[in-house]
Amino acid sequence: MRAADRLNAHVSGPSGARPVVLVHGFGCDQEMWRLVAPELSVDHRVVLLDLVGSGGSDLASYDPERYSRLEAHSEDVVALCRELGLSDVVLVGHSVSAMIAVLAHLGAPDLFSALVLVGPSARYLDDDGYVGGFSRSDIDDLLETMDSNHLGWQDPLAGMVTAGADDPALQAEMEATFCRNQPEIARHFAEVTFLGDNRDDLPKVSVPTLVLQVRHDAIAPQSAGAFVHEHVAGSRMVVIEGHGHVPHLSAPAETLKAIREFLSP
Amino acid sequence: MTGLRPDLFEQAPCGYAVLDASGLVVEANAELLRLLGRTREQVVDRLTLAQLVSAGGRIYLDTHVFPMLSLEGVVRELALDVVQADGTRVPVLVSANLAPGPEPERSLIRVVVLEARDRRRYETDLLESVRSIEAARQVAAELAETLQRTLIPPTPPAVDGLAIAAAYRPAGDGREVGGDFYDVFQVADHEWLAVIGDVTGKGVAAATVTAFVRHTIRDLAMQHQDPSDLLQALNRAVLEHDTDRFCTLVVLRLVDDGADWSLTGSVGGHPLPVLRRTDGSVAELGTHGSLVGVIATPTFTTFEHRLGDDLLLLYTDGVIEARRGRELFGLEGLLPLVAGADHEPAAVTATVVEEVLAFQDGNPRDDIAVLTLGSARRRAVAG
Amino acid sequence: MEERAFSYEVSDGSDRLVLHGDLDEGATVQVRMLVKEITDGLTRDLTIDLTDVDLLPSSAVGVLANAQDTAGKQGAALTFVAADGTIAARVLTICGLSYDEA
Repeated sequence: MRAADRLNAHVSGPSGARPVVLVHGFGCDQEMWRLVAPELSVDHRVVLLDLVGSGGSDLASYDPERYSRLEAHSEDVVALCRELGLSDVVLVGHSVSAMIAVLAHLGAPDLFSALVLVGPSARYLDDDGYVGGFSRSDIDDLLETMDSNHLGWQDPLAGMVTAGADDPALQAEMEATFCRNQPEIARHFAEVTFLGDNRDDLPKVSVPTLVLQVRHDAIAPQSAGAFVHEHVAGSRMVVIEGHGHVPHLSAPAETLKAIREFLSP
Repeated sequence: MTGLRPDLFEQAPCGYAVLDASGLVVEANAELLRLLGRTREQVVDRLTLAQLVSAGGRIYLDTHVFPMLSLEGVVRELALDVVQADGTRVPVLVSANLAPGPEPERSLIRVVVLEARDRRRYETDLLESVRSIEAARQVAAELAETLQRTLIPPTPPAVDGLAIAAAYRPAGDGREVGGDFYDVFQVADHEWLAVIGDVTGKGVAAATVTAFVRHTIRDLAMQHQDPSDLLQALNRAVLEHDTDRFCTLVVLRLVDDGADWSLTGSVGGHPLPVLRRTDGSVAELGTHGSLVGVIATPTFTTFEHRLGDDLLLLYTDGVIEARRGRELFGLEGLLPLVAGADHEPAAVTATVVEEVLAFQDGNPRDDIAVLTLGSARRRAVAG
Repeated sequence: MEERAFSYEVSDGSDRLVLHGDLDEGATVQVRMLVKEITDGLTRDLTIDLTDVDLLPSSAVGVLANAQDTAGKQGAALTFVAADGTIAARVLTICGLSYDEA
């Protein structure tokens, strides 16, 4: 299967323009970029994708063993870029995908010429002298919350009795909504995301990097963003005023401004 | 009307809150404050929704709920835990929608909160049951697959002076292994046993009987020189094994006397071995005997043969029972096939398997097992 | 694959059972119960005519062999009949069971 199909890729913008690849993080899918992608695609070749296991990607490709490492996702991103014949790529990663972006760059140094890390955190769990913001019991609580919320996905009993996924009416209903990821996969992705540690990968980054930090972000707090900024040599950090973890939804204008100023100073 | 609305909000039978774009609670009704276990002063304009739910709920709000509200304008039936001032967790169901403002920063969020203690307990129990059933089912499936995979007939061992060509083709997608089996094993210096058989049925139940039969034959082969005695003993063992299942079997004892292989054999409810001589003539060898493991007094007859340059073909009934429409492959199809093949065990085995599969358009309705033996000595001499 | 459904007739006097078609799993269960019934628990003689049987898997033969054995122990005779060249004749031969040729 082609990477573009596997990752439900959508490409827009002028074909000769500099490519900008937008990678969503934990929680939803490429729809998260809805308020910034169209503007960027005026003068950039914008590539949107769904990580394997999320959104409209090929769920059958989600092998939990393979995707227990973020490198698996970054390999997919690299494969897509190569398949599309891209070069001089700006890789934008939100949340855990900021680390996926870092790993993609390390795995394919020739491909990416700039990184934009939106709400990044190299490690979510607190550690000696490091404030990630979370304890193990917080993550367990998240997993429990996710277990109780299937958001209109088929209920767990359905899997035992009928194969509801073949129901076209049900499919249509789900396709009309966003942030509905398959519960088992979403849970696994949550574990991989929140129990990861990519702090040692940061110093190896060798391209211009922008860190976008929301002032009051409860998922990637300032301590985490500052850590990323300090350990990626030459990186720039911009703080976006406000609350929340998704500035490209809650403050799209500021987000675009920061990215544009970074790309053409 | 204006007099009515504050009362509708304040006295609603569900918790009702209004949040600003940052998640701060700007209005809360009596029922919500009751659920939160806090006073108005402690909550309104002081705490955000994130601060009022559990740690996991907080993460969930920022990674799923607020983006969904932003993209769709509404979320329904979220299961969250509110944490009261004293730490008590209250399971609730939450629905919310967006009241857009002139800018995203000026939008408001309406939130309805319903207590859901019983429902949550029920759902948790249900989820746990489903999980453990799934786990058990998974374990059972893996066990079944492992067991069956170990019973697929193995590659026969290399026997000095004997050429063996064996083939096995399961029916269907091969996931449910049938009862066909064959074995070649040593019982003494210069003495080997070759066995081919078929246990009734398919799947795990048949597989366990197959395992039992293969294992028991190895034991009995040490105690019973004569193949018919062996089958009698095996018959007793299978009867005692407390199963309705039984098997069909050909047992061949091969003795290397230095110059030639001398065979003794016995057949129990199974197609007879087929002999192929160097001149291309073919014939069945042996006498039909009873099914093994059905009745208490079966009949088995021992036959003898000096192999010389002959080839001996053992096969299971999937070969002769193969069908195409109303046409049966049968012995009438098999004997000419063997006669026409090259005088080599590998050639005979390959030809039989190919033709039987082709006869059924590649879809065997039953397992096929084929084992052809021949002396390897003459080839060494001929160089 | 042309498969005929299983069917049977019992003669007046219940001493002859004629079987037709495919003796699949379900049919085998039926036959076992039937034979037991019409022979009063395998205590009376019975002839089973298998000439018109298309499919006679070993599991069905096992049932027949068992019944014949049990009947014999109780002094009753269970006799199989199969015309020469029929599927049943061949299968019964392979399974070491004797039969009359009609």
